Amino acid sequence: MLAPLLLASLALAGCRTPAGSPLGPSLEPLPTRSVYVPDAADRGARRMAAAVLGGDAAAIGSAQASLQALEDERRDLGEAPSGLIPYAQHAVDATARSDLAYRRASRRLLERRDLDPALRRKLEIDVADDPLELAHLRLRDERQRRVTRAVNGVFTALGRSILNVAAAPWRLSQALVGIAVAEHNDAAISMQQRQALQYWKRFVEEHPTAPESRQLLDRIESLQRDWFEMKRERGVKAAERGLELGQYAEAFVFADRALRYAPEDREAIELLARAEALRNREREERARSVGVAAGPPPETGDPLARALLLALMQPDGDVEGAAAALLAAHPEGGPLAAEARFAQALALGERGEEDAMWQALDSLAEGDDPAVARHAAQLAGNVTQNPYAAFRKSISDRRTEAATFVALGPLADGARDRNLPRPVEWMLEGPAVIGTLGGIPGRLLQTSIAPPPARAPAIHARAYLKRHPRGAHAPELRRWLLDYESGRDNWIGAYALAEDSKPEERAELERKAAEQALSRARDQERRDIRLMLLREVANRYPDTPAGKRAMALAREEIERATSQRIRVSRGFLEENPRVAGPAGLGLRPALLDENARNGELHPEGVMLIGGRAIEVALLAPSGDSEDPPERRRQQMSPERLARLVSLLEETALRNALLDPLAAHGPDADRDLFFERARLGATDAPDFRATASSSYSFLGMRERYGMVRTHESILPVDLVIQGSLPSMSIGAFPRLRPPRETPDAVLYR
Amino acid sequence: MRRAAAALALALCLAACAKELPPPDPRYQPSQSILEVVATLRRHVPDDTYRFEPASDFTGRNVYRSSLMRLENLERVHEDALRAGYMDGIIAFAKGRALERLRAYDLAATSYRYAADREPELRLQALRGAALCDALSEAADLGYAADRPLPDGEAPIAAPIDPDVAVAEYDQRLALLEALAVESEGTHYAAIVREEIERTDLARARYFASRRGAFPDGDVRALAELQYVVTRHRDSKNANRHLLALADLYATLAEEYVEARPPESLWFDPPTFQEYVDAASRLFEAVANQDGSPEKLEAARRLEAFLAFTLRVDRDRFSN
Repeated sequence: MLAPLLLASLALAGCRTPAGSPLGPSLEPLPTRSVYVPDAADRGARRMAAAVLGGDAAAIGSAQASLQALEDERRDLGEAPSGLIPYAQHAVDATARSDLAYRRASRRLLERRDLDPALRRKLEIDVADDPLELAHLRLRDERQRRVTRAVNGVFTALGRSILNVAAAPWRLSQALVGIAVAEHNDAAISMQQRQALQYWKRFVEEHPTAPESRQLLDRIESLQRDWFEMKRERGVKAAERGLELGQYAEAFVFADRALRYAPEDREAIELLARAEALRNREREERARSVGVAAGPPPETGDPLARALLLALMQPDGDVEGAAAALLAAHPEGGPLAAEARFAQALALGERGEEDAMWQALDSLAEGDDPAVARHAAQLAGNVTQNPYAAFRKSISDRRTEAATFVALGPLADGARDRNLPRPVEWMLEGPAVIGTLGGIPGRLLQTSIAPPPARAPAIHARAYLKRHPRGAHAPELRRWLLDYESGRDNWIGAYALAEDSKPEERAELERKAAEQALSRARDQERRDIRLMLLREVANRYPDTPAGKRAMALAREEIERATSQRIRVSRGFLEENPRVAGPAGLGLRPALLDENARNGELHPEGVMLIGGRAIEVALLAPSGDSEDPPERRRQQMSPERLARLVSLLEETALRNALLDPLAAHGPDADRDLFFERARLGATDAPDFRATASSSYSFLGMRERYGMVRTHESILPVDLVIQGSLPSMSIGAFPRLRPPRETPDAVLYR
Repeated sequence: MRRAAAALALALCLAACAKELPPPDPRYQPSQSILEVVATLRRHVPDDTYRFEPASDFTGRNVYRSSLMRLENLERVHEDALRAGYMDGIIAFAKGRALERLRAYDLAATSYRYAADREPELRLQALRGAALCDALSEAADLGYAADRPLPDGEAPIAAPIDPDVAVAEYDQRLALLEALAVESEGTHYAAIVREEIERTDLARARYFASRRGAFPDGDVRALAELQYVVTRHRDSKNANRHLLALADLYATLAEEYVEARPPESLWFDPPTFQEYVDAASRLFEAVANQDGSPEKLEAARRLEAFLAFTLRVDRDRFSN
């Protein structure tokens, strides 16, 4: 049954044309070019450029007129337009005195129909860089954002009720309350409004006498007021939060900040006064604690107390004995009983009985003597002093948190903060309670499949091992950490903790750690760091397969190291034949003729490897483009290299202007290499790792496949949403909110 | 008028707040006994303050500082009760233990000598402590340190112009401390000596960092010195701070580079700038990834600030 299939596949494999190896170099000799004689249009363009650079209006006018005359002559002779006229006009417009005038002129130029598409795109970009237009767009975004939020809220409520129409009024009212709360919580000024404010300010600064500026002043002032109000609000909220958390000094600073924006704000004044009073009170309390109680110290005249003090101050003093003697002398509990027991507890710790010491300190912390209790509590409850207790507590907290989350879901921390009075916030959560209860099975499943990360216990476990590597709980915590690191696939971390593990487990962890380290090394973009990491893997895990592979890769890396790895793919060369042709790279046409017998370029294409060398990737003799290519290196003349990089840059720029999706990303090292190549200064390759570029010029098909995904022109998505907690399904349209602009990060 | 209204409102608020203040917390009551202070101090005498942060007491103060303050207050307030002097030696010895952790080696040595005179049972330990503190004090005074506290009215000492002179002084200081390290092995002084060695290495690195403009390879030397501190004091509690200092220096070099060679100029070399940025970012990131350390936040914010600075550089000159 399988035989025909096998035969067929063998036959198909046999049908693949084996690739021939091209004879001679992959590049054609540079064509000899005769000296170019400029024609009248060239001379006219030269005059125009000189006039524009000279800035002489009369000369510009005359040059433009003569170019126009030449163009008219061409038209009369039935020749194709030179295309120079719009460019000449653009050059004239560039001499405009202000941005405003330049943009107006460019708008007029855009009305012409004979513009080169690249020039049209450039003008459109320039015209769009108008502060007033940009401010208008941001304000439109802001309105759109609010409308989208409201409409989506209503649509979602209705859409989720399609299978349960009776619930529609209820859900709709919930949605309306949600919209109202969101509006209430909006800052006094939105990010988009702040962007608009900046654009207006820029416009007024640049054009103070423009008529638009006078109209803008009021709007600027109004938005500026909103901006100050937002700063005040934020300061007040932060101060309130500080007071709630007992961080009085922080609360004072935030209240003070709020007052800077609203000097007479009553709320901020009250907060400031309260924060100051509490801060001062805290300072007084701290100062009181270093004071001394009235009456002579209880040690006065007590030789046993003195003996305990001496024992405490000597490195090998018998603290336990002295404390016991002091306690025995006052069986009914004297004034220093708690101190003696405190000293005894510390002595237990010094003797290595860690758990007994913490138990004793815990009991003292809950005891009647507040003077000793505070020190005992400080020691026992301090995460750095007692990391094991902190570890156990964080494990228990985590369990409690998980249980609370399963039971209460989003209400685990109480009603959500909506900047409303607390009872109102709870009231708004009321309808969510049923849904919350319904979600228990889902959350149970969620926490059992993906429990929350145990970061806090891990921190405390590591702190314990650092402080007590041979402590009583070290093996337990090491095991816990090992399981924790294994659970999150951090094999390097797990292997570092495997000293107590069985040999088989250790070997397995070492293998996994080596593989992980190798993978991290290979992901490194910088050659020097990659090489360093590969060597480290080879040295640290020499007996593992990954360690051996790392050694081989490091060797290969050194052997194949080149100062540059700038690739021009076959796809790019096919889509931009000028780059591949005699005006650019000068690749032999046979390499791109789809005929493998005379040699064919591999999809990898051509790589600039530094200096004046290139590496041409040819199809392997199998003719299979999936097979590693056969690489041939060749030197180029400085002239050819300079021409190639110039053409590459120009082509990429033009493509980007015509189609934004064709834009090639910035790469400083590529540009630096190109800059040097243009100057013929690449003979001494720059081997610094940071000077190496691994940029790839790829064709559009390689980047986006056969069909490019375009965003729908409709501003609406259709959403189908199911909810486990409420066991419901809904379908509704959702308006797409406006996208944030790239500079939004500067307004957060 | 408005000011008066605001002042009145403030006064009213203060009066209202004073009424609402919580009652005194019994936790903050004054010390009851010498034993309470000495036992707490004893717990922290063996602490390895080179590797771990010094402990805090229940008020959040450094435990050595708060113990010293409490002991001094006890001495002052109960001067009459303690006039017989039977506690003098013990208190002086305890103060010595606290003072040596606060780098007041000369005062610690004085306290120890006093304790040795007054308390025969502590004499041996006290004399040993005094000798070590004297040596530590001598070492701490060697070499240039910009941050060394000066007595009131004394003019700051200028940094040595000749780096060889500075290095010779630091070497002398290190030699003395390394001898002390051998002597103090197995005692709590080992941590104190290691802290001093760390301070010496840091003072030397800071000297080269502050004078990097004065030497031909000043930047490279300063980086190498800070790198040495990072490597040598990997176990220190300050390891993250050392990493931050090195990252800061790389960040400063990147900023200075941009000032000296504007990105749009022909002198700007992207790989050089990239090297500074890579180094600074990696170091900031290394610290920012350390859960549970207070430097985590500092490093994360500094990294953010540094990356914001790189936004100034044109994308065709710096692409990361």
